[in-house]
Amino acid sequence: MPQSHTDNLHARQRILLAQAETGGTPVEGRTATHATTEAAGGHEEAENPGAVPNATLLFANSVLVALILLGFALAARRRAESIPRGFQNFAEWVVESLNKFTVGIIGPGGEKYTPLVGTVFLYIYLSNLIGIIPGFHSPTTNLTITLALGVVVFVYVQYQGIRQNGLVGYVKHFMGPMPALSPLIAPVEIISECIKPFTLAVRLFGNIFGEDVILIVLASIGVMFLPLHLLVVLLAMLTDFVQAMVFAILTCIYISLMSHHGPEEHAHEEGEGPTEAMAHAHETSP
Amino acid sequence: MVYFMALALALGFGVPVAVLSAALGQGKAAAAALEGMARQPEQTGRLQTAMILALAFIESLVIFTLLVFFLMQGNLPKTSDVLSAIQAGAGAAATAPATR
Repeated sequence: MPQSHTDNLHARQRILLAQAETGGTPVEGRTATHATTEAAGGHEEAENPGAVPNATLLFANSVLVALILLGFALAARRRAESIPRGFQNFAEWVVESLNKFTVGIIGPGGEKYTPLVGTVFLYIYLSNLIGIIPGFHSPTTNLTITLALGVVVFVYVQYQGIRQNGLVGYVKHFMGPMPALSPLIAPVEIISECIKPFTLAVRLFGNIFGEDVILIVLASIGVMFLPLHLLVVLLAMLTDFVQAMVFAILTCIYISLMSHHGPEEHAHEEGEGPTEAMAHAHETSP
Repeated sequence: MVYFMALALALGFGVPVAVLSAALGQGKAAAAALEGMARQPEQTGRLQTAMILALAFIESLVIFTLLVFFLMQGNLPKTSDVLSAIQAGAGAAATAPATR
């Protein structure tokens, strides 16, 4: 496996070299000059691990992820039966879990948000995972692609806020609880709302790019039959899932914050909370 | 040269300080979650989800620091460049009398 990762590295080196010749962006130009001096010197060292990946290649990979998800959806719908079996069963389990997840955070009216939240979760999870397979690169290792996801969520949340509360209600949402305090609260609320796509993007980008860098460095340290990075691959698969789930959870939380009833109304959704459990215990005891 | 020394020191200390504070914070979050799970094992699912969420939030702050590291790392010179500059400087000082 380290062999295929160093092949990966050389492919990246080649791409960066080609970009340097055609005059790439300053970031890639810097690392490409490093690569050209190395190649001219004749030794095959690992490239600069901090190099930001090429956006066109990652866009191609993201289109591949979209096609895989589409294929999955179309394959699940083929000869759909009312009692599902096999692949359709698995697909229905996935959709049902996403539905439960969304409704669990947003509340009883949450089913209409499941398409966006579910798509975001599946797309991010698959994009993160695909980087582990040699030959493919995670689209989420580029800040542009993660920022696109953040902007999509941001626009959707604002649109839902305006649609549910009306334009006046939406503006009042930023004023805070008391109109007297609104000159103080409004800038803070607006800034914290506008920074949400950036935090979403940078969190996802930093986690996935960072684990990519760790895998590259560990792979270049290990020798052929001692793949040092295999354990980190398992950890990477876990963080891929966690980051996708965190993105989806935050999307649900931002949506539920916009509609003015926060999470406290939905404590009865998943069984009793601790206070209700104690109250029931006290009721039933003689 | 002082600029590069200061930059290297700052880059070296930036992420570890963030990691130290994040480790303390994550330890507190995990301890609270584990205590809750020990008190009420039937709530394990909800507590686990909340714990993972809290850990991811705290970790994302460290990721911001790592991003600053990657942004500033490009300004550091390569070691071979620095060594050749030092050698060139030493060679010039050897052939010409030192002015200090």
